[in-house]
Amino acid sequence: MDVHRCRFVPYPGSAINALAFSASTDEELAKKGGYANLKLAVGRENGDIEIWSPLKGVWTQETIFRGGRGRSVEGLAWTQESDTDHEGKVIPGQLRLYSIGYSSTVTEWDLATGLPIARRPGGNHSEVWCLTAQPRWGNKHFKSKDSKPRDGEWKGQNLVAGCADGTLVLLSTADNDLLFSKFITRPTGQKARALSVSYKDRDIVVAGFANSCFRVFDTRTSAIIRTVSLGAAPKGGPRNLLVWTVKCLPNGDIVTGDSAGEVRFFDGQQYSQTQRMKGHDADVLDIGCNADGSKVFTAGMDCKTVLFTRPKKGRWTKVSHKRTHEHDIKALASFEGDHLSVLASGGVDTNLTVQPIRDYWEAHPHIMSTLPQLPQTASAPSARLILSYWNQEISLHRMKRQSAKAVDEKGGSLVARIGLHGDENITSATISPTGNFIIAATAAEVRFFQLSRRTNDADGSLKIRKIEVDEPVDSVRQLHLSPDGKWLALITHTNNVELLRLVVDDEKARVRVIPKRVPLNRITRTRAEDDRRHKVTGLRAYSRTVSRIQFSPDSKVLVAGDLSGHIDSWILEGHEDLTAPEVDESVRSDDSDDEDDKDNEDETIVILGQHWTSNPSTHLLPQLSSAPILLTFRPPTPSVKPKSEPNGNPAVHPTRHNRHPIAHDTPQGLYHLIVLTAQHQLYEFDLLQGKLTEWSKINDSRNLPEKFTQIKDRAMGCEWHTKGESTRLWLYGSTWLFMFDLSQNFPERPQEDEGSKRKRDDDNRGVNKRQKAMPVGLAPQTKKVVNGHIVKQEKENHALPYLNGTSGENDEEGDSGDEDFDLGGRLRGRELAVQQTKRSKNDPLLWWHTRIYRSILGMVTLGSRPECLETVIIERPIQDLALPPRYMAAHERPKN
Amino acid sequence: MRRQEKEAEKAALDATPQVEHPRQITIKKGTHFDSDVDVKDVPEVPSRGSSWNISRPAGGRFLDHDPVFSLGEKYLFLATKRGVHVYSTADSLLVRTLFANPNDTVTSYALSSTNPNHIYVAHSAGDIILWDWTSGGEVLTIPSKWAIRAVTIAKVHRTEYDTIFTIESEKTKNGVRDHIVARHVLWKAAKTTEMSLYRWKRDDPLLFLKVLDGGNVIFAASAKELVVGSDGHHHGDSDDELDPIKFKERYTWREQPSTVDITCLDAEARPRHTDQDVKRSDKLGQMKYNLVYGDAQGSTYIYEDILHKMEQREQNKKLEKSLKPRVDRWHREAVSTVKWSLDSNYVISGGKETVLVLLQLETGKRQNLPHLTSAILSLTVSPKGTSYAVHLADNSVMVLSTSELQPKTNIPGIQSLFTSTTPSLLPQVPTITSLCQVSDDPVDAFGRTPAVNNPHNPNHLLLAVPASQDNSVDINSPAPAPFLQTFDAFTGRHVTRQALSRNLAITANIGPDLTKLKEPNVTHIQISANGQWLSTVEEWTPPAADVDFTVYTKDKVVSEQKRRLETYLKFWRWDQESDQWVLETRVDLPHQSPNNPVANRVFDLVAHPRLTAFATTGQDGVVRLWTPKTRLGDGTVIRGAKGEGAISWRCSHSIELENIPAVGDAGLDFPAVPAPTKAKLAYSNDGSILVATQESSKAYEAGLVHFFDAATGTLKYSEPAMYLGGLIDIGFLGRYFIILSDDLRVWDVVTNKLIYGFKLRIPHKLTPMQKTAMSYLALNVSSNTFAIAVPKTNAGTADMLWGPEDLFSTVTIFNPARPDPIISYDTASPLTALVSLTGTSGFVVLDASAEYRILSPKNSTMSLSSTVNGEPLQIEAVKEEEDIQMEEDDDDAVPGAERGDDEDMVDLMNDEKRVVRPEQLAGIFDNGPSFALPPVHEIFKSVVGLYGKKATA
Repeated sequence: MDVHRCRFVPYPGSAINALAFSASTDEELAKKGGYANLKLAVGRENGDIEIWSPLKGVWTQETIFRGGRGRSVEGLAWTQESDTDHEGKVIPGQLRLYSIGYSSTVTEWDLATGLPIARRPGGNHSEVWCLTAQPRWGNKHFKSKDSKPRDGEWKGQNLVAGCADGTLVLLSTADNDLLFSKFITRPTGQKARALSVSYKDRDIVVAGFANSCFRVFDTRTSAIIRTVSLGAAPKGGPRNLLVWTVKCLPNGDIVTGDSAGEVRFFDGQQYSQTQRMKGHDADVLDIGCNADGSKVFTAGMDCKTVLFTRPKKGRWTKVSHKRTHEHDIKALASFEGDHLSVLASGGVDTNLTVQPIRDYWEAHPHIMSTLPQLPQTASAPSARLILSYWNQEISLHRMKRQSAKAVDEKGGSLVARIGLHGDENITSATISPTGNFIIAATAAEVRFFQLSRRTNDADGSLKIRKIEVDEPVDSVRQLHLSPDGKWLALITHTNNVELLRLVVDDEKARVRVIPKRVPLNRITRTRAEDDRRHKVTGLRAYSRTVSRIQFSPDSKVLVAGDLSGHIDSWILEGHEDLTAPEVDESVRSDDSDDEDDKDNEDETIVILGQHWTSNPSTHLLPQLSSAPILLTFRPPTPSVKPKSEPNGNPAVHPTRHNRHPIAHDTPQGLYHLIVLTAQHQLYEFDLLQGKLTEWSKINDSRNLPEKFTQIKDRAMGCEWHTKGESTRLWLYGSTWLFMFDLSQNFPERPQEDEGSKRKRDDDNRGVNKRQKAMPVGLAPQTKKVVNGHIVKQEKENHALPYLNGTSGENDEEGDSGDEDFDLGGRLRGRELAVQQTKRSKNDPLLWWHTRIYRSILGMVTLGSRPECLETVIIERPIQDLALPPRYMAAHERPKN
Repeated sequence: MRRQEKEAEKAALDATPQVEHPRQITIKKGTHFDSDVDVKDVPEVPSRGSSWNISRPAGGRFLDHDPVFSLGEKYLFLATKRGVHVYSTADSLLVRTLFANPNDTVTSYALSSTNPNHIYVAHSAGDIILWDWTSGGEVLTIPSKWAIRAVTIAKVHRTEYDTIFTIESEKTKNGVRDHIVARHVLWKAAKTTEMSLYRWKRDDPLLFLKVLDGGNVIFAASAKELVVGSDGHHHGDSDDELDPIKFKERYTWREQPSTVDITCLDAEARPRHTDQDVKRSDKLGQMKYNLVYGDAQGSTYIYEDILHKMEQREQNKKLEKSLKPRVDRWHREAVSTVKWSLDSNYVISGGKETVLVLLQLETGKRQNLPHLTSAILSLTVSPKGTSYAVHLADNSVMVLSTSELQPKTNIPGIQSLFTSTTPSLLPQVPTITSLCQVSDDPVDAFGRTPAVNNPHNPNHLLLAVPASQDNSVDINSPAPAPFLQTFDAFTGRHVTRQALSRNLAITANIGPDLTKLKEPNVTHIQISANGQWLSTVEEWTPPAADVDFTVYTKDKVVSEQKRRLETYLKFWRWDQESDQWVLETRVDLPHQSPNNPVANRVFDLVAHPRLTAFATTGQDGVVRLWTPKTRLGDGTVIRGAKGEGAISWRCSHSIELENIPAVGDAGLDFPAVPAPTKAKLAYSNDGSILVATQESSKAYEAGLVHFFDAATGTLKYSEPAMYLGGLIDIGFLGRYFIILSDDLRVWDVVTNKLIYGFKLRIPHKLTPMQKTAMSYLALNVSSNTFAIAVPKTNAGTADMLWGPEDLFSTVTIFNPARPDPIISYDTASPLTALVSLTGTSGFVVLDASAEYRILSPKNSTMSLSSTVNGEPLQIEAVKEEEDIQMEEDDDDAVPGAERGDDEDMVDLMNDEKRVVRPEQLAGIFDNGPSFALPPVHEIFKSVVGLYGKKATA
């Protein structure tokens, strides 16, 4: 494999400004939905909101809600509607997500479409600086202490927003709407910004202001209960302390963090200061706490996360700090439950860092790259072009052909840059395999660009011409171009899959879009199925979000996977017939066989003699235990010769009875789909048969090499390379590159029976030593001697991997899922295992991996020959990011 | 003045006896060789009837042991290995020394818990001696089988006597095994009971011991592991505490490995305070035990209520395994000491990077006392908590007030080069500096301390001393010496200290790539005959890592370093008013060879014995004479600050010595110009003749010595083959010219005859560099004697492998006219300086353990002062009534708030010196603009009130 390491693609990271978990404790998670309800929303400076799933400790970026120019996300809040009782079952309420930016509105996001819901809550207030949601009804910690629940009290969650002029606004989320309810406080003469706001219980809010004080309000009466001043700012700085953050602990106590770096604790009843500590060298920007309020984390501009603990009814002590970021930490979010306890932090250095709360001393933080998990890169191998996109910009680089003469030359050069009009960020962009056109999508529209070489241009820069489309396409989440460049698959924001046919005029190599969108039907999954498989979540339609889509190498099969783990597939029937009418719509399906096929009752759109239909075996494919993050087809083995295709559809002619004849030639060949799920389970399906392939039956995911299973960063993409007998799959994540030879079988790893499942987890932890930090200070083990005799300590069998977070519940679920896939029964026997052990050194490599690449933005192919696969690995290391100057402590020196 | 000097010079020249008829210079090879020179071994000295005195050793390094305060804080106990010294904190003066047995060394000491006048001193051979330090009498000797490393005294509950807890090392077949031993000191029975409480089964020695709460809890630690012994029964009611078996069985021991290297440890017991705690106190015990320790990486780990947490963890499996320390990372280098403040609100730590850090636990606020110029070794909080005693690595101890961190007491010892012959037990982190150390040979650690006796004040020794000497840092090169210490050798007292070169006293001592910065090293010190002028030579080489990038191959690094060597010759004037030496002239690279950029070192610096003049020679093969000159500008004298003529020093003559023939092919375009490797100068006693000789690595012409007219710098004649090679030093004593090289030769220059010569038998294994570094020649004109010192190894190990601990020096004193030595004396460790005492007839012998002795003729009136010799001074009987009173209070079972009040009272009564805080003064004066100030008499009243009333410190 030839790898070009390239770092010249200027992908700018975007700072994390806000983090919010959809729940902070186990009890906030609805009982039924469980951990599937737990999502982390990450708000970035470029306006993107990423939804991460921490399921089983595997951090997966599920979707990105794209923002736009000047739409920085400055705050995030989740609410959940009240649970409803449905046929004796508790259905968890709908989760709703809100964000604020540099504007006076609070935006609600439609989780299913990923688009903001256009409404104006009203209320004539100034810019919103902070946002918080009312604690959930029934949260025992945040019950109103001074009063009993009133009759008819609303049980939903309201929002409180603090504004630049010092007003606090109460917004009601009742009736699935977002409406201005009332002012809690009016602007004061002092013009103090409200910088932070937090609910103490369901009625009392605490807000920190820019004039060295925080105030306590009763939301019911809009009365100020108390104004607490933090005193004068230290000398030599601005006159006022900025109370950047306030946090109410479960017991009602209030913690504040201010611009002097001090963390202060206040009694929740008297509002008197109980403790004041020097927490940071610079401004404290956010505060997090654990479920019972015995640990408080603060983070600030000095790049440190500081831990404060308190024994029961004791005093707070500053325990230690960790430096997990390279720049200001702007946001913290925490979740602590039985099976997962995690503190997430993010800031200007754009990385998302998670660390366990309970094993804080014994585990390393897990730092996740800012780069999107669905690579924002594409390539045109024959033109040696690499495309990458961010915000509103697309850049095209041409990779030079490497020769012995020009080794020292820079490997690539910028040949084109496109800045899209409008404010919307690009959701997806792609380039045709031949490099003659580009398609880019935003939340507003899809644009097509023709590329052509400039005449007499030695640099090889490209001329870009916009292609006018007869029927504009709007609101697309993802684009995917078929390998032959003829079909463009679109995922719309409503999570429908549609297709467009592209035609290339032969004379001028101009691209034309046939103005007819072909909608493809996804199988409707029943609620019962959801219940059985996935528990009911408060996410509703969100779980049906199509996250991955893929064409087969011959462009005749299309698969799409959604977040719930379902896979849909479609096949192309008929042969291309350029003489046929471009668009031929048949209203009624005339084939009697299809009458029971409800999906085909709709009109069938035949384009140039071809039409797409649902793969009849789709419903046989099982629901995966987690969302597929990689869909790819095993390349056809060279031994299978492609069947010669007829020119057009010979037997299909319009007749009187059948004015719109449809060719039903189904694609021939093997369509083996390799699926990698978010849990890094690897499956291979025979799509047309709708079952696991023999290889997949033998090679259970549990037999994957340990080096692979212990990887924490998720896979982002893959490349295939067939060479002789071996079929190599090159997988990569943001920090690793892995090769599997899928023509071979993996050696069987010893599997434990159910009883020793917990032990297996511990073993994994044991092997995975690099992941586990040494505890600082005194080691955990003690030798006890009484009267000269050593007292044996019981072997401690404890410590759930809180960060790895294999919960008992989910564990079983996952295992039962495995059994579902044993469609053909398990083949693996002892003989196979024996065969595996006989591998000799001369056998081709089974797997290989490296971690030398740092922060891979994407890996794209420049063409595959039998002897060599030529790829470009685009790296974007954190040190290449242009970050603003940060706070330097007295003892620090700037690096270079 | 000038005329007088000139006349004196003339007179001196006239009186020159020897060079009346300068001989024709005829250099015949091998003129004087072994055939006609009788070079024998040094004859034995008749030990009896020697007419010379050897004083007791004085000086010495303070042990790396926490200083101990007397209960009333009036006295401070510091120990060298020779004994425990009692210093008064009020005037920083030595009051008394409790000397150890001459063959024994002190290892640890602790104040008695029942009698504040008693102190227990443990020795390496095993004895614990109980002294009454107020009277200086030995009270009791408690023998021990094993060597004692640490000693702590506690009064076990319901007993009336001291219990001594010690760490002792048993030598077994498998190596040394440490024990924690307790002894009850039974006064009535006049005996002690000894019991080994715990046997430590590991090889790494136990280093720290802390006994709390009347022996209920014992914390001990090695570098890797913590051992906690606790009373498992929570104060058993039976009265058989004395029973050794029962006492031993009281303890439950827990061994707790540490993930970091422990470098210091402190623990304290606090009564539980809050109501909640008291309610549960039956279960928890009345006291909580807080532990803090520091590690080699610079972090401190604070464990509050550690014993309870350990027990809880054993009982409850579900708890987190980690004991959850509070980690404070601040120190750049190893934390060398850490202590709880008396109220346990602060943790005070001192690091090797010279910063004292006070951490307020409640608020996390940190207060730093930076730039103590030298690594902090240990620290003690005084019994009342009003001051800290800080022991620094420059062999000094400071007492700081707790409130302002102002020094109240300063006790510096002699700060000359110190080389520990025993490796440090403390763990250390390999640093870039220690990894890049120049040499693997531990003998290279021995160096010279440039020293000279001040003729103006013959008691004073001027020593070039390092800023910080930390024997736990394992670097085999002597520490550079940028400071000048003036030390009174007769009273054994530090006089002053000043900087001679650029130093790191107030700047960061660590480079951007975390290398330790090195100061320049003063290599030579000379003082003019009238004691008014001092001349020093200093050298600085950039570290190898900094020149690495300039060279193509690694072997060129050394020459590249040499090329960048910075050498300065400095002339200092004694300033009577400020009591210090003031720099007048600095000469950069005085001996830079014009044709060899690498040759730029200064080899020797000598002072004219009569006049104010100095002479230097160096690697360029040139002798330069330096004389002062009143500075003129446009023909007028430039006046200094006081109206006196400003003086600058200039080179009056430069005389080129013989060229050393080029080695290799002379036909090359750039033939390697050889540079001498060594050169020495000497003035004749009357200052008329200057003798110079140089030596190169090529033995082309051994022993060529040049005689110059010191006034004109003209060569009188050259004499070949006066010595064979391995030049160390030369000197004149009347008509005798003494050359110390591989052998000792004494020539009569008048007759040009060898009087006598001796082979020196320096161990062969030493490299020439080491031989030069450890051999000395000193001349004493008044007694007409000279002394030589050469390194020796223990007899049995002459040719076998030996370590630096087997090295010592032999000092031999001769009369130049007679070949029999007057006295020969073996020092305990190799010498770092041999200084002749001008004006008196004696020598000061300073060795690598920083101890010195004075060798003087018996008829001389001079001897070490009584203090140094340990004659008991009469101090008024120290009956610290209030302290004893306090002690009785302590016996009350309820330690409460009243006790703290009492302490404050005592403090007020005792505190004679008012400490007035600056903010109090500011409160009087900074009350607003000047026109709004109260009348002057009111301000005066408030100030007087502030100083007159009891301070509220």
